Amino acid sequence: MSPKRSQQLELHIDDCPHCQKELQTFEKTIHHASSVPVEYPTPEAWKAFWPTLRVRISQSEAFEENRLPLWVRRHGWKMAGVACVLALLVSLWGLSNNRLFKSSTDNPTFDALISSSFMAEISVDQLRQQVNHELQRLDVPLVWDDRRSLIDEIRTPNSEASTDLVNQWFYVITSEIDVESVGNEVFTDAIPSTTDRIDFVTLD
Amino acid sequence: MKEDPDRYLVQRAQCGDTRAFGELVQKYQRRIYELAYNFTHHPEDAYDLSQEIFLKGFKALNRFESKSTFYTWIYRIAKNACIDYTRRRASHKNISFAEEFPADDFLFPSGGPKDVTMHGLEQAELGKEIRNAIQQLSPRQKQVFILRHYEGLALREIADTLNLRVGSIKAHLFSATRKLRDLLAPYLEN
Repeated sequence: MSPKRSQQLELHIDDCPHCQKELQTFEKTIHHASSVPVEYPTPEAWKAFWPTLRVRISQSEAFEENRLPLWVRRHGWKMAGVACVLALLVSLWGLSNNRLFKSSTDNPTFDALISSSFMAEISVDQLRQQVNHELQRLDVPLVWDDRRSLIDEIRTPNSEASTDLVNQWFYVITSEIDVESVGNEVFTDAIPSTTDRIDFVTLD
Repeated sequence: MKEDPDRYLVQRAQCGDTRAFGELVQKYQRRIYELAYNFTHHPEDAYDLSQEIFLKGFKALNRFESKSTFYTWIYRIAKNACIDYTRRRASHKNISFAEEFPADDFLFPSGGPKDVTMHGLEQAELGKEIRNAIQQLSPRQKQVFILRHYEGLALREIADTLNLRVGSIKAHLFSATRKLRDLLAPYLEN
């Protein structure tokens, strides 16, 4: 209602006993109707409110569901969807390059693995898995005393690894290592010196 | 948005801590019960409806993203549950759960208010008449009247809640008040 109209109405009510009565009755109705006292349950019922509800909750499906971590409950379906799409893409990529059916002699070299990691084509975890797989295939032990022996071990007929490549590889892996998880073997540089040790068991 | 005082409890409840949810329930059960009572005007129904509201809240807890306070969020659930209740009641006969199943004296005091003075009896009688009158409103009139005059919501808020225009809310409010005035006329004249 416009201010002008409101003012006109007020002036009319001031002069009209019928409308005054009507307005009073309306106000009285609202006052009474909105002041109905609330009837509360007994104190025992109040105390039983949560225990009763807790039983109902424990019987509901939501109870089991709510025990899962929040991020799983909130994003579970999305993540499953993304994982399916990724799996599909990886499969297609593998098929398109015939990589899934290549012989062991055609396995990607360390060079290819590391360069694809740097190009962000594969994650560090995937790189680790593939590197470990590659090392197992080359029958290289999973623990090295130092980088020099690692380089020597990797220099096998099936590997094209070079010193630079191993340095790069060290960088990729050590940059992801939780320093505390390797105990006293603290890395002071992103590329460790030859005396640094890496226990690859901790990486898996 | 102001800091939610219940943030910590909500986080714990979201991680599956039922006791934390219990603390939230105990904190707000009275306010939610009062809202439910305003719609039901039956203590037993209000009690059951309140339980239903908190159960819904528990089931939807993982969708609560702290964009509002916990109370605002649970109040919204409660409001919608109460509106659903009035719709459900309209589709059934005017028999409440409480009338179908007699009140348990352990849970609910029988015989209404305990004030036995003349004034108390008059008030109790008036309260009963008002409750009956409100039950005779249409579901929409009832929702609008309660949200406006019991819950103190602004017309715009009611319109948003019920997905109606403000003009429609005013019209429902007017017709509800007029109907109540007619139903309560004998009492209002006294």
